[in-house]
Amino acid sequence: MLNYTFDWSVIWRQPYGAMMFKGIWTTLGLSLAAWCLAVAFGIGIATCRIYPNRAFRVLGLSYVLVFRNIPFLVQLFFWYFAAPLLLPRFVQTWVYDTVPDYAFWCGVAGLGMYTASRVAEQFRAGLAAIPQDQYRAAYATGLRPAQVYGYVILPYAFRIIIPAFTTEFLTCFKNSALTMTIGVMEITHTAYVVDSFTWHGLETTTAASLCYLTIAQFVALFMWRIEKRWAVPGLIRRGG
Amino acid sequence: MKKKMNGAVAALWCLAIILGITGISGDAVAGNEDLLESIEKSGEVHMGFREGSVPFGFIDKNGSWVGFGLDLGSEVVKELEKKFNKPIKLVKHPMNPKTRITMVANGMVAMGIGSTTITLAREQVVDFSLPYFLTGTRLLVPKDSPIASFADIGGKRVGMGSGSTANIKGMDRAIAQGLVKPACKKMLFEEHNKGFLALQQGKIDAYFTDASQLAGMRAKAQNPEAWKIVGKYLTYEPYGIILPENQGEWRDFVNASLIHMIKDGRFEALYTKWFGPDGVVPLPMTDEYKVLLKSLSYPE
Amino acid sequence: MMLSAMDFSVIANNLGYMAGGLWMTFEIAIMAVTGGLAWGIALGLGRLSPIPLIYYPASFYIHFFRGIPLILVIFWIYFLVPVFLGRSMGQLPAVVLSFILYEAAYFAEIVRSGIQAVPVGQKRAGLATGLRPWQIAVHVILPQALKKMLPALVTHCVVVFQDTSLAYVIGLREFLRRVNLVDAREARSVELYLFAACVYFILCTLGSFLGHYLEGRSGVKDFL
Repeated sequence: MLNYTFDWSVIWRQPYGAMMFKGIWTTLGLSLAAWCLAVAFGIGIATCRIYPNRAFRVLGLSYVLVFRNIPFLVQLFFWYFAAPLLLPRFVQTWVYDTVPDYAFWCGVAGLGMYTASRVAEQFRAGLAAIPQDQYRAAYATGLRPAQVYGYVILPYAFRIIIPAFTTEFLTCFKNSALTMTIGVMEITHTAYVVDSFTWHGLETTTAASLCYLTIAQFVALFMWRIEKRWAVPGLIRRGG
Repeated sequence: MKKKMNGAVAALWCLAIILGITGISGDAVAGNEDLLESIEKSGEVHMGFREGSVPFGFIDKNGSWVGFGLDLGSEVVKELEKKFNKPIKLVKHPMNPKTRITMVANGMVAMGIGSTTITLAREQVVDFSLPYFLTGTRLLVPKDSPIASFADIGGKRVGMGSGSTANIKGMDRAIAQGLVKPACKKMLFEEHNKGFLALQQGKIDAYFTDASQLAGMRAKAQNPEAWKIVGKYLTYEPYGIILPENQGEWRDFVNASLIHMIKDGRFEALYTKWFGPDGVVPLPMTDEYKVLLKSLSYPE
Repeated sequence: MMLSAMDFSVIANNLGYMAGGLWMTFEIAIMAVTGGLAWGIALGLGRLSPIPLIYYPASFYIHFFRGIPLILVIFWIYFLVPVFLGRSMGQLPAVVLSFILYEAAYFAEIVRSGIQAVPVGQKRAGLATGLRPWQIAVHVILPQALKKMLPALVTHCVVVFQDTSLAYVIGLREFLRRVNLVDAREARSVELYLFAACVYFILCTLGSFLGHYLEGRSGVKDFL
């Protein structure tokens, strides 16, 4: 019933092979850059959310609510089409003229800001999971708040949330596929473009799926090693 | 330890899937069923249409699915009813550039009518009907733009649809031949509409695609007068109906239906309905297109 | 294009059509959550099982689906299932099946961490009273675990609700797809997507608050 002749060579045959390869690089670059942004921003937001000052807490909560409750697809659209309109006209023109891969950086910003809201929540949950006694004990030894966090809580929290961060990174990595809607030539978009050149979409989509699977498994394996190496002694190790 | 094995097994999984599909494809081609027979037996025919391509297939103001392609499809159904002398039900499926090939290849639909250019590379994978529509690639620019022809877009940012390969290849050829010098910057958009928005915002200097699409984009603009379509056809884009491979009888039938429609004026009436002066996208029929239709008026 | 230049009449004119899509969005989300949760609980339990024949397949399944974008899962299910079954599958069943298979992997991880948070003494107590392993799972462990994982579950349900928009890839006309189709005809992207963002924001925020309320009711407030 499948009236179709497979031609796997479209994946490596030039010029498509080079396109696919470049697509993989773009996916990796985009998700890594977005991830760095997300972790930096996410930790900042999480700090705001537990900060004693009420204004900071409201700020943090609003950020999380807005970025988590609007679909990423819609957010990307705003980063690409609506955000530049806030700038003066000549700045817009300057940006379009001087930043050729404007869509890519829009994708990084959009994906990073979106993932940040999720990272912030994971980080906050990690902090909340630390027994209150740890704080009390740290304060009792005469440490100042900055020292309590820097020496006791954060090293602990980071190790607890490694599994959750792995999940979030994989989600970030997979969400990078949606940046094709603003024209970023990452691997899924490349697969579709090669498909429209050759009409061998089943092969290119399979190749794209395999790329995601392989990279995700490598990341999971790597993070599992880190997790094991840095596990907090005395806590039940995560199964699996 | 456990996780290490997971990776390996995931890889095996994929291998199994790939082998699965490739294996099946071998059997499938051999056990082909004649489409015309199965349509007569089941009394229904499945067709794929565009949903977001004005006026080939789109959702109108009342939320109903209409368009030039859908009307062509219903005419083919009428021909089927005449042939089998019994009512045939038309089952409509949404189709987009990502799904069209797979839907035809795995037998979900008997034909796909969109705005698909016939290319030789595509002919290797699927079959096409006779070309029923002829357009060509031009440029959409703001009214006060200095761009008047393809010679003026050198070094400019030009948007195009990432699924419109015939267009992209045409532009590459024009650059290689020195028609566009220095090379323009190609900006690919997943949908023509996004490209038009980018054009409105000045992110790109011109949008490049089939004249039929450009006319549609211009007609949708808040103020159509603010936009103009310039340039001689850079490439010709003949559209065809996508048909499955190795279904000669079915293709002959679809072609005969098209020829009958062209000869008895039904085709022209449909063209006027959608592309005429009062249509959704006014696009006068070019002389080349008229010649194409005349040459398709095969005698009985 | 400043706010004054926007033309919001396009939303009023197409409200009925777009609202119809919202219903389908809910339909998909509800089926995906119930199906995905049921299958996810089974997988989560399997992942904690001491029997290798259950443990390994469950783990492989979870790793497989967490390593592949949902958009590709939908694509594969829609096109491969007909190849194996020999008959075509409707779009809605294909999308719901994809969502259940995919989201179950995520629900399974939530369920697993919830179960692991239940003190091991509970299981021993269950065994001591003579309950069978499945009885312990259903009557002792799961009710407690479900309470503990409620915040994560609610968060993920909101994610599922947003994910439904990916069904557009095979042409299912849910809410965001309908917004997109109106845009394809009217070319009023900024207004339409602003509208979509507001709708999602309101619904998802309501969902989040419902989650907070349930958390309060179930007595895991101190977790936050």
